[in-house]
Amino acid sequence: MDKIRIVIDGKECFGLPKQTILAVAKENDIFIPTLCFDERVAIYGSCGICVVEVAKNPKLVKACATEIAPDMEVTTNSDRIAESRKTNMELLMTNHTGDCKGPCTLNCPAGTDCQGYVGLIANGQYEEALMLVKDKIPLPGALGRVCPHPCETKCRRGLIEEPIGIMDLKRFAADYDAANPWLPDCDPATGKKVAIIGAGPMGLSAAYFLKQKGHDVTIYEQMPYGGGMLRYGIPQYRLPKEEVLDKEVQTIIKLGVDIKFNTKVGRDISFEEIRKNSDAVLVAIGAWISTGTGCKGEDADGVIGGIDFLQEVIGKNAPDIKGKNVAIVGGGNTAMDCCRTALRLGAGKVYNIYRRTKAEMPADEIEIIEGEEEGVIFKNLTNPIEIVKDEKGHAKEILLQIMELGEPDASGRRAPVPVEGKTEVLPVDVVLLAIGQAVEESSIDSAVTRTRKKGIAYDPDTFMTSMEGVFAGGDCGNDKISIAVEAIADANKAAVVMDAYLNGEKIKYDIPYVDVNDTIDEYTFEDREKMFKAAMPHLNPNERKGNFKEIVHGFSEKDAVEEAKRCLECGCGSYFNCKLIEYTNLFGAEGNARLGGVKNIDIIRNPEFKEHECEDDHPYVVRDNKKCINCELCVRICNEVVGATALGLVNRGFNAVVKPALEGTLEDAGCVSCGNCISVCPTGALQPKVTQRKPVPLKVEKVRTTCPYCGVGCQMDLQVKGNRIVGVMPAFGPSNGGILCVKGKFAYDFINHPDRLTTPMIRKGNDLVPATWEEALNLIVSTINKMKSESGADAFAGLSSARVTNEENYLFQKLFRAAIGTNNIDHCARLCHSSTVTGLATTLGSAAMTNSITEVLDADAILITGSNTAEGHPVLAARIGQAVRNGAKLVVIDPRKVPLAKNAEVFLQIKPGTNVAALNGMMNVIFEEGLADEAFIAAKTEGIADLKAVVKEYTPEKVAEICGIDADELRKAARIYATAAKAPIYYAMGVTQFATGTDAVMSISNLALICGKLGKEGSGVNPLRGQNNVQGACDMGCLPGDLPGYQKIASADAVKKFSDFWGVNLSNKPGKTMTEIVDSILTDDIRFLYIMGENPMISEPDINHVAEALEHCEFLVVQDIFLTETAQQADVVLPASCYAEKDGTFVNTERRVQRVRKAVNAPGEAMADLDILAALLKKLGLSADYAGAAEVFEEISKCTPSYGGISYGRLEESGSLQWPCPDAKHPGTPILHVDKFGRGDKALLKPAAFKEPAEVTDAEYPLILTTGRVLAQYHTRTMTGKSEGINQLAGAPFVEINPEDADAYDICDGDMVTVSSRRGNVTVEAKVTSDIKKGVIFMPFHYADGPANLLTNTALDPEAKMPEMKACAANICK
Amino acid sequence: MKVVIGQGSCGIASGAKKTSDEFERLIAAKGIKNVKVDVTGCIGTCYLEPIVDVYDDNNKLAARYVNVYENMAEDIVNKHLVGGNPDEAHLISEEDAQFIAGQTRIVLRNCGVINPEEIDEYIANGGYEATKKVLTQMTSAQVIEEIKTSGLRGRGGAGFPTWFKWNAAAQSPGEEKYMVCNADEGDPGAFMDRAVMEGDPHSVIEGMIIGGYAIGAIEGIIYVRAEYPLAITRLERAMAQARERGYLGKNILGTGFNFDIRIKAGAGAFVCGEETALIASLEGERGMPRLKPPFPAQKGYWQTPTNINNVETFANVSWIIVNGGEAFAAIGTEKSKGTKVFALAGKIKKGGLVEVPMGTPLKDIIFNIGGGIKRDKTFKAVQMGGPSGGCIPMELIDTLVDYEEINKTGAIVGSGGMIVMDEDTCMVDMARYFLDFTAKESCGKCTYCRVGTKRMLEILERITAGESKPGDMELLAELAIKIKDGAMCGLGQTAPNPVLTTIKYFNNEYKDHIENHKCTARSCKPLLTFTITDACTGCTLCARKCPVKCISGKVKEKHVIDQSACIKCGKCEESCKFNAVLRD
Repeated sequence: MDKIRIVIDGKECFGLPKQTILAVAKENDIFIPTLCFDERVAIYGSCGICVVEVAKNPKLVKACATEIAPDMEVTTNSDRIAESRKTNMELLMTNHTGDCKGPCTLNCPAGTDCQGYVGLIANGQYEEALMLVKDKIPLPGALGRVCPHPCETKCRRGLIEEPIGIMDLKRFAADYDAANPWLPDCDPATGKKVAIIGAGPMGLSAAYFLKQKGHDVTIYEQMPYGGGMLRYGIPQYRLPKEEVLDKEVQTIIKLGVDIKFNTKVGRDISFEEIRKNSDAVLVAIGAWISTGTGCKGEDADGVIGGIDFLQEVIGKNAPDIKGKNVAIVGGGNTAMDCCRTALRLGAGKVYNIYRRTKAEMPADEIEIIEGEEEGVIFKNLTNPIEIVKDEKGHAKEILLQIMELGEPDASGRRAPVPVEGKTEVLPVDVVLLAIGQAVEESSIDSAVTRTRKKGIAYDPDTFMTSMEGVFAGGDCGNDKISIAVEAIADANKAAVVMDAYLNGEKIKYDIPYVDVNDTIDEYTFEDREKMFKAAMPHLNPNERKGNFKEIVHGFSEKDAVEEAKRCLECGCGSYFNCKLIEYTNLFGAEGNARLGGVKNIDIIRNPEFKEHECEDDHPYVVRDNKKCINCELCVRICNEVVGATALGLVNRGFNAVVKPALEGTLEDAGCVSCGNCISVCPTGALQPKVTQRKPVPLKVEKVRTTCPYCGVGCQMDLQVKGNRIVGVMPAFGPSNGGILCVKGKFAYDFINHPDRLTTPMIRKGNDLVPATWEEALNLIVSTINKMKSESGADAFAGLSSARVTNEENYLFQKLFRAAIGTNNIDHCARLCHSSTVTGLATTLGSAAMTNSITEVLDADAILITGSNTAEGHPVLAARIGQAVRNGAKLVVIDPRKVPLAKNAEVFLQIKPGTNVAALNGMMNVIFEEGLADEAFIAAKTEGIADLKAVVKEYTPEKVAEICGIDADELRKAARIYATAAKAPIYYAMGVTQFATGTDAVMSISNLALICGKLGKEGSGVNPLRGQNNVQGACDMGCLPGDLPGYQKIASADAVKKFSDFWGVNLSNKPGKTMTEIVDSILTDDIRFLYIMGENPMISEPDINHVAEALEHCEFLVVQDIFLTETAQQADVVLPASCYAEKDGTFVNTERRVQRVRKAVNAPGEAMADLDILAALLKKLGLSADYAGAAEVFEEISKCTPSYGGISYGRLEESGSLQWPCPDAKHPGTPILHVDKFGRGDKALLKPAAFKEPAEVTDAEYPLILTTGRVLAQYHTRTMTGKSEGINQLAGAPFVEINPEDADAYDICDGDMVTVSSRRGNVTVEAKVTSDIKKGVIFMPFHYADGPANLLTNTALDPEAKMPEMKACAANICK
Repeated sequence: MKVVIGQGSCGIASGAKKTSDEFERLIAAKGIKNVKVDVTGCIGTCYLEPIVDVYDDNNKLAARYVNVYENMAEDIVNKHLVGGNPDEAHLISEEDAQFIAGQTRIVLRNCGVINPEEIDEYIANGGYEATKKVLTQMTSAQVIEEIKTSGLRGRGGAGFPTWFKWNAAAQSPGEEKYMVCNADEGDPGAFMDRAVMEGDPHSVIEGMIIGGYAIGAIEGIIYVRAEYPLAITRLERAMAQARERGYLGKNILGTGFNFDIRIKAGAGAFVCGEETALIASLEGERGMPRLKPPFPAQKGYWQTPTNINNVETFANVSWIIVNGGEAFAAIGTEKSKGTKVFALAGKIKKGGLVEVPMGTPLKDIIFNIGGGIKRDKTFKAVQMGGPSGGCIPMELIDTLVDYEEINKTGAIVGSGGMIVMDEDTCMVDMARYFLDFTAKESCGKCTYCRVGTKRMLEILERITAGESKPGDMELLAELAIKIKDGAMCGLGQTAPNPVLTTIKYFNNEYKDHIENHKCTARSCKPLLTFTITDACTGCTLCARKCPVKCISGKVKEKHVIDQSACIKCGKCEESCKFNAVLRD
């Protein structure tokens, strides 16, 4: 197609016809904002943020909806556009209510992410917490001890009982880190030099931030130690110097900041010199002059400034005040520090003189309480009039005016007023004035303008003084002497401005706009349980007498976590990915200040509008309509993409809100809990509910990987914070198109679950006891060596896993074949698609899915049989739903009215086990009505005569009888399929898990072949793989008769090739299948079984039989991530890694090889399966020094022709490749059998006659039991069962029974019933539903506490050895 | 002889059905033979309903009686039907007869004339001739050409050339096409479409058949609001009769053309008059506008080419075919051809439907046909085009009714609503009223309309409540312009029009409200003060009528209103017989 040239912002761009301006801009990295557009859903155009100007068009146009035209000239940013976007955002913000950030963070001058680090501590992520603190506070140990914590004053927990101990938690994180302090990374050196005068909180912090920006920073400090007032103005008992502060100063030095101590500017170095040698100077000299009260006699000897006194004490230069009476004037923390220090120095009486009452003292309450405990005498409501001198001019007495509180002024504050004529005299030796501080006058060049009060004047927006390139902040500037965290905040802001200045830019520091929910009061939290803060361990008054030991010890880990858990999580969980707040700031919108008006929340609070209330107890979705901006992405993705239609728009105009259908809960509205609504929400209106930890709004890392659940192979981004997965977002993979299902999106709790195996275990008697890796592996190796010498290699068997990577599967079979010498390797594919393997290998020559998933979107008709796609492969089902909405006709053949059957044009509800009859019936109709593709049959198939002969007997009427369906519906189904141009067939275990599974698979193949629907787009025979890597496990040769790439053990050439490749002589005897292995254990033919990542105790048919075998097995090794039912039987348990903890590849159902990437470390000593297997290989004498998964993959591609052209490098580039991909240039194969079939030029039509299931119903067992999956659970629940929400959705086993049967058996919905078969019985809850056919009952197989497979039949398919799990005779009773 | 009683919804609401029943009862009781009581649609003179026409044996209109309530029937029956002489007391006045005589009736040609429930009467008046002509003698292109010649423009509001839309739909590729009639008449005070559907349903059907033929449609759909039950009934009946006569259905008139019509009752959302929202509603979705392009002519109903016209537009079509496009084009102005029906309402003496040639001066409509302002107050302005339109002040009263001329004033011809306002109407409050309507009727999809109209409304509410802030008018104007520019569909883009035109023409009224907290028209209650003047005689009536008892004073002495307690209900002013209460 010819490309169209357009010009965007002067840049020439090219796009395809029908592309929109937005799409072309995006491809060309030109930013056009939008809130309502998302490529997953249809263009909607409601937000209007994407407006742009197009030359010659007088109107602003929506970029999301406007198609490009030749030579179109587009402007994406003009005043008019900016104005429109700004007003639009302002309007949106007028109806958005939420707390972007918690009040704690907003009230911290430095903007420290308090909620963030408190939450991280609650989740046990102390290091991440500290990193977050250090993002703003370089001295967390110091501030964690002495900060007056404005954060806590605004903490909303205070509305319930008391604020969170945010400062103490900061200290906890800092102390946790103290032994090995974390340091941030610095940008590459810029070559710019910054000089900072003063190493107080401001100077040190500015240095810390500027150093991170790559600048060369030198601090000039007059004192011998850094820390400024923190060091010299705060006593040791509150803030230990050497132990805490000095160490923190050291970290800044370690970061690369040069601090020149004992260097006073003006004395040791001139200001001019500093200026000359620097690109920028920061003046951060603090305020070190103690101010007086101005009362008479202040010049007396013995009258000392409070901070001067403290400084002397800390400088080990304390005045001798032993036994002397000391009066301290002032009510702040410095006054308290002076009082308590004086007491510690052995003063006689220590008075505190303050003109108001205790309640009005600015000092921290705890300081006052502790001071009182230590013996400070509080003279409140007194004010010094005169310090009376003795004859030597030394202070002798202090004359105090008695005060009282006057009438409250306008602010409600009661000012102290003197009580006429009432005074008091105190005998004193020393008077400490802790009234206030001022800036020293002469420390820097007078060229910098001073304020009236002698502070250094600077522009509050730019921090620049009157002198170009000289900046100031903290206590020394603009007369705003304050607390340390204020100085640090100044440093933070000034560093931003200075960094820009050093890069040649002049900017102002802009405070970002945040939305604040100001409607919260104590009534908001009425229902909250009161939980008080744990008492902080500290020295009692006796212990602290006469010494300067640190009083407070800090939280224990347990207390810290408990304290952190009290956090109410005020700040919005979506803050860091909220487009709304991003754009509000980007376009300079002013929140609702200008436009004002009623908010959604006002309506919500109005009882008349109850309908706006939106809370329901969905396990995963938290809805908050106050934050909703009506972009309707959620509604649209739910309707258009997922097909659930659980959300819609209710009411008109301003009152229009997004709600579930019919005013009910989401679940009632048909929600499938996929969370895609949350993934597309541009703001915080939809958020995930997190249960197992505290939800913390944080910036996260993203790691692209492949979903570990079903075979669809959805691509997704793990959201990682530290060593923890905190969320999952869908990515745009070829198979999932940007969506996920409930499992992929939410079922990740297992990764961090406390039940994870963290250490190897060895059986000692009845117990499994922890062991070292060395012990465990040595035991395995010695057992192998011993048993091999006794019984030969075939006494060993291994069950590999469809859950682990290709690389691991490859090494597993290599371990058994090359190191042990047996082909007794199998895995659970035996239980899902062995019938496919035998069936399709016979008819087509390859067992894999023939076509690609995305083709379904363009299908004209779709045939699904024996697959509950909506629950087994939900994302594929969503895409099938999209195809149906686009006009494709759907035919579903299944014993249950599975969810997709509701979208079907024809639904054939057949009796379990009658697939072959139904398929033969369809073929009968196709031949009878002349709908077959005779040309294709003639050219591309053989065996047509036999097939026609067999299917001739299966008239629709006869088939209707066998299957229990309507003959005309069967005809309709056949016509729809045969006449559609593009019509793929999907099938799964409802076809394969029968003793006649191979027949049914071949019948599907026959059906597709006679209609010519193979080897072309939008067609094919598509078995749906149940597990994430079952295709890969097969590809890797974890099958008894196949080497990697389906090279046959039966082929001498293949065996030789691998013998040479691995350098050992391989056995050419085909191994045993899974079911045979189980039997052989019981006959002692197999003595050693190694199970990697499988749980046959739940997944195998007839579990009792399996349990007996595992019990009997002489030596059982189980490698898993949990102590599964199977692992509990093991002799050695090896702790492995889950998908998020390792690198590798999975192959999805459409033969697509995709990467799995390591996001976090495995818990404890758990190892990646690959490393465990490599270690064993080495111990068994093979070379296995793989540097990583990539190297194993290289080996695979060398010996596996269909993988020959796949490498990690190519996967990195293209995301995925579909095998066969024989060489590095090959693009991969989306469609199989295009030119010829796997078996040759022609496919085989192999007819099959219908046979009844192995076990038919009788009087004793009159019902047919069939089994399957439920949406939320996966396999044996080892992973999904660890998620609270998943279990809330589908926590218990059940049996589905038709209402007529239920009536007959006197069973009501919800009754506990016992289901029995010839193999056992299970008690579960009854679910009465007409979705199941009369005479049939259904049970999900996931549950250990109601195991369906205790009942299922082991009767085998003669070729595939597939057990008949989908049909057995059963009975039911209450 | 027959007695024909106008029974449109308006007539029925005035009691026409009761009158009709009474005539039937009396005729039967008195044993009068050969007099049939018949029904017709609305003739347009709402203020004269119920109207009873007596036709002589030659089917000539012998007498028109107006405001005939149940109890007057007997007089007329006795004098006219029995006595043979008109009942002078109830005859229409010469002046009122002028109301109709001064009009040019194309759209309303059959309204109030024929029985809308009888296809034969329609046929007798030349009905379905056009259909025959089109289907047997004309190609689709010729039909479109004829319409082009006529210069007919869409009567729904935008005034888009009808032939252009038809042509676009005809040219758009596709087997399935639809002809949709927009009968979702939603403007407050507009009822011409209802009158046509109730009074002459076949003209709509015929217009759709012809249009359907022109674009190649397979089906027609009339999207009519469910609040019009009588229109639905009459349309259904008309369609059934048309089907019987072979004008609808398969192989119409043996020409091989297949076309049928069905009705979709809408739930009465103003926004569903917007064509993409109408289509969404037809498809069973929430009635919300969709982005254009694609236009309905390309992808409309179920993504097929769809043409949508208004009832009145369709009602013109058969006339044009029969009389020729040029005859139609001969009426009106250079760019606005034919006639236009207006619904005159508000402070006008003779409210009702008027059909006049395009280009008629507003003044003629209001003062000549409409008879001027009620109670002879001073004309202030006329709101044209409903909530999407704007107001035209006194100084522009000579404006001609022509799409372009009206647009120049900031108002629109729209669907033809004309609300007349007098000196007592507060223009700010008027703007508030219309914005309240559009804000409530916004579908809630786009930000500018959903939130923007709400914010504008809030500003107007505070201005009319006397709580305005400095800069409110500027903010209002700023928002209005941005909403016009940025809203997604016609509803939002036109919603600010009443505000913009009132700010333009009545800027002082806004200023008075905002700066002086005064309502110039003395209409906004919170801004009023009631005081008692020296004219007070101390009769105490006001004090007794005051619901909050805030008026005090001794008998025969001047009374005083306690301003702090006054709720400004105006009861004192109403009750005072001495004009001693001053409202200011």
